Amino acid sequence: MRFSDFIFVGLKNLWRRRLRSFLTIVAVLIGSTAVVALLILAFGAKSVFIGQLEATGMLNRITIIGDKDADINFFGGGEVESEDATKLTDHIVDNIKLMDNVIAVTPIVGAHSFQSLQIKGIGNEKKLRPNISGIRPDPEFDLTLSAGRNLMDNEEDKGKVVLANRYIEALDIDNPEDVIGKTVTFGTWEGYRNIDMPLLPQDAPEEEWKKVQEIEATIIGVTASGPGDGDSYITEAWAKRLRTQHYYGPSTDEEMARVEKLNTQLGEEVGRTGREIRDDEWYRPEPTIEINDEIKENGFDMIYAQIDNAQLVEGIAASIEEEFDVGAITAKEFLDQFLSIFTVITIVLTAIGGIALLVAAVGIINTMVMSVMERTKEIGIMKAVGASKRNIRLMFTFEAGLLGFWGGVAGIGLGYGLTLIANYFVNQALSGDGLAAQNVAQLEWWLALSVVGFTTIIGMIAGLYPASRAAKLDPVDALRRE
Amino acid sequence: MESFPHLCNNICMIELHNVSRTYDLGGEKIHALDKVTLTVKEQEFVAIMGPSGSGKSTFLNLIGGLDHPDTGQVVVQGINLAQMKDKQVSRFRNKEIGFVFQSFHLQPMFSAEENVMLPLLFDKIKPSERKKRARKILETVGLGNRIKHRPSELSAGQRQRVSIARAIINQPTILLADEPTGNLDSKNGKLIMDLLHGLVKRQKMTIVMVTHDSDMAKMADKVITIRDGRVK
Repeated sequence: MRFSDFIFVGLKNLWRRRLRSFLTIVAVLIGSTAVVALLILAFGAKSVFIGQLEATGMLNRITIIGDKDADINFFGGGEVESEDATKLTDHIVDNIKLMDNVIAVTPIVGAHSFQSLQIKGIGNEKKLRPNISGIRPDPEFDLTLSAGRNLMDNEEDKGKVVLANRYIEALDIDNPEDVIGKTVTFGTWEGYRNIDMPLLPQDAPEEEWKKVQEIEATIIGVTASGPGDGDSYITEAWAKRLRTQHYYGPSTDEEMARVEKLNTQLGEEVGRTGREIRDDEWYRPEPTIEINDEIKENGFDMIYAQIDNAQLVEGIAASIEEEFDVGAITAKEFLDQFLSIFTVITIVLTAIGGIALLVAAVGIINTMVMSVMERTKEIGIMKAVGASKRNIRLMFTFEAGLLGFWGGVAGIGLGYGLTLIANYFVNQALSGDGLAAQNVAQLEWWLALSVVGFTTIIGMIAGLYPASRAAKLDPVDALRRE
Repeated sequence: MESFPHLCNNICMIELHNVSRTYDLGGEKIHALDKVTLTVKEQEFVAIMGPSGSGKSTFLNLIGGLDHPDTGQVVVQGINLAQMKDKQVSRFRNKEIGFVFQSFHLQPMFSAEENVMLPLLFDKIKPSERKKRARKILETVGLGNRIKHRPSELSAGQRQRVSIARAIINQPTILLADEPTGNLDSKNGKLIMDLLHGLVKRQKMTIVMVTHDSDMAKMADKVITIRDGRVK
């Protein structure tokens, strides 16, 4: 017999009893679906995820925060409650920079001054919520970009932004290159206009104070998709200015004394004439202009330190914590937590897949034993016309293998579909952690092939017993069967 | 081979030496064949006669290598079948033997063509070549216009012709026919007999045919009668 004969005859026999074949295949399908999902997670998602962390330098980074006990994750999300946090200063930045294996340090200044971001003249022009960090440009912190360039250390400090990749999709822009050089307009919070712009006259109408102001910046780059691709970047200097508030403070005592003196004089002079003094005639004290430089007062929000060797990150983080009495977070903790979730999912899927495939194998044995019994006479005829025991054994083994094969093929389809759905939910969870949308559903062709190969082999192994029963049938008995 | 004397010189196709075959049927021993010794010459048309259950079919199964004697030797074309392994016996059955059964034993789900092709499946022949040969042989037995029909769509006589076509597609040297006309009316029976007779002449086949119809037996060169497992 030719190899193709075994396949063809097997398919034909399965088709003859298609309902039973289908039901047997369903059992294999359940098992292989679990295996496919398992492989996608284990090989696809896990490696894609870790690969992206690695590519973006996250595994070499230490995030430093002022509060040692704060519950903050690696990407800066979380709550800061403690009042007695260490102030992150330039002094700390400079000293961390001096440590061995530290190749770059940048303070992070969150620019929370804007409630909206809009790019006019391209895409759907939606207003989106911005998430902007000011950094001290350094080639070591250069991000992988999808277009344009990074901020440079000699950058003009104002009006330049490296835009978060996430907006490109959200704004229906096809190509990130298209936004380079475009102007992005940031809208301030209502009544929160006393930032990086001249203070209004004290007697300006209330509507003026409440007006949302627009601040423009030029897009010089777009980040690549991946972890952290929801953040846009501006220079530290500009971010600091955006965090500095100017407001009118109470007048000084001298001023009050001076005005009081003048008003007393005015009262005396006008009093002599005997007329009433008009409201606008009184002298008013000049207010002081107060400056609230948040960063100067409270220190930087965070500091990023880049280490030249990922193996040393944990140790250096520990010594930073000790030396500066700050919190130092690495990706490891986050990664460990992430990996432990994977481990649980892997165990569950392995169990489901293993049990389902075991049941499927028993199902295949059952189907094939039935088949052998029904086809006893046929086997007798085949032996009479020249089929050897080996021929018969292989025919039935292949037929069982084909049940496994189709179960595997169907499992790849279903498993892939389910993973796409899981992908959606994983992304929801990831974005909560400040991570970017990930295409976790990746199935390499060779993985698909090995799943089909695996289920085919399971089918063939399950077929061994029925096949050997068929091969051992006594042809004389078999032919006598009606 | 060396252990026993030749019963015929060179032209001997089938030799049975002291062959016994006993079946255990519900505790009762049935002597299907009891120390049978006989020979069939090349291109001989032999009819085996005898009452039902006299061991005639066992005789054919032993020659075809489907069954094995308890004692004695079955030698076909000078080869002791007991010395062959399964692979060799299968090949021997495929190439040298053609079986024709009383109840045709066709695969009901297969077309006439597919039934006839079955023996070719157990050889390394191209599928296109198999089809070509199956059609040719079906034309030979007069069923050229019935190749796509299933057995259920054919008359009994036509079915037996399909079965004969299947038996001779590999041009075997021996045709073993087990009451080939037993399920046919006399007209179709005659047709089949003529076909078989023609095969002996045209294709130089040796035919061993079991029958209990003495009219059919008359067409054979030699008639062997078996009764209670013994040649009479």
